[in-house]
Amino acid sequence: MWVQLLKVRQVERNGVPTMYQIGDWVEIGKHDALMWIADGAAVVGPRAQHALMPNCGVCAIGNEIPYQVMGLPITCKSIPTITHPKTLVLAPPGKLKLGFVPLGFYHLAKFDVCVPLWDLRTMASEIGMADDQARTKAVLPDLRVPIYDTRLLWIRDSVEGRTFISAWNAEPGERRLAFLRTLFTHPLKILALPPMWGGR
Amino acid sequence: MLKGVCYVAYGEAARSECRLSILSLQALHPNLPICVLSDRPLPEADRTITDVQNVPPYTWGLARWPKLCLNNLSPFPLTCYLDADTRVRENIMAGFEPLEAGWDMAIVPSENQDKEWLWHISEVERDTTASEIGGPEWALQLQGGVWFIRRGAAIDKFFSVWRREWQRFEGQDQGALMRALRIAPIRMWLLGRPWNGGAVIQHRFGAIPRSPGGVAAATRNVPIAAQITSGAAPGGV
Repeated sequence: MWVQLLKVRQVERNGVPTMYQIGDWVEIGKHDALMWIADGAAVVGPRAQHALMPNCGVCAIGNEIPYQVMGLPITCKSIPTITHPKTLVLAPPGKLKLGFVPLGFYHLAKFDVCVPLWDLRTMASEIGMADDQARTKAVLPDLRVPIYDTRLLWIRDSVEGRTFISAWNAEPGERRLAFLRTLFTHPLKILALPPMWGGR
Repeated sequence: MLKGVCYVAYGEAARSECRLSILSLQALHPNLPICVLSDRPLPEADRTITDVQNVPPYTWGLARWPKLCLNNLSPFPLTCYLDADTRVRENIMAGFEPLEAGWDMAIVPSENQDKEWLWHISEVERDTTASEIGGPEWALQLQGGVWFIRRGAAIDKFFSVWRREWQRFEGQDQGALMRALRIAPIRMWLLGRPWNGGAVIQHRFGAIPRSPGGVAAATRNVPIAAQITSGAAPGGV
């Protein structure tokens, strides 16, 4: 895959380390391309973007399209919905590091859902109103668990994914606690991402 | 489903810590069975497993290999693993409930992220891990000192990969844990900080002295079984 460098990078060619400068085009493997893009070190052209993120799209929650997301198709919905084989669900005011978008989709090859943690300290026992807490205590054995930033969620289209999204949407109240209740009763292969993915 | 707690304690320092951890556990859970993997019987436990196969003779191997074989060695379908230097302060049965709900593993994310990400492992392993799965911005570090697992095919596959990944560098196990999770994903439920280093389970990090570095170069490429049968001294062949 060809990428254009935004930062100086060294690549090994036939065992020889070779330095490439900003603006250079370099052919590298897909995994390295994803890492470099996430690092802000490289960009790809539109055709390569499509190759990096086949069958991917964005489900934006709300009435307005917040911004373009690397040329991906965007569908506006009122609730989280799986709109593509691989969907990034984006709810305002979720912050998005555009470079991380391809990497999130990449992980859906092995995980059902990828979502950042809210932070490393806040636990489910510390958020929500009294009725949210009561509903969650009835499901989770212990509320001293980290919470997820559900404004930014990558999910793949599968039976498990659709069942999960449907169940989450049916849960009332604070969305992050609703997510945890749904998650607990619908075990998935979930990749918890560092809080930085959500801009925190 | 039968639940129990497993420890790994080789060497007198680890065994001493393990005894104290068991006392703290039994004060709250007098009927919860306890199994210890050690080089000789530990009377405080209900059972001690001493015949772990293929344990590397060097110090890191003594501590790590049996732990990474717990999916096979634990006598319990639902297992809580505790580092020997932990102290149980509250009821831990809630840690088993995610397993009964269908999760394969319950574990605590580390507070060491960003600049402290994998600070305690070798530089070469940290760099390799970052290149393979992403660095601190992209991969969440998990703590390996307290976890709950449910016996099954998914856990068996995961542990097999974890062991294989650990053998690449043979030091600490968190880097291998993170790489294994990417290779063989499982259903992993996250617990909060109180469960490892907090109100539920205290952790006396660093209470058990370790050997510096990892494996001596001379032993790195020798098959483990050969090391055992040849009676090779730790750190040499």
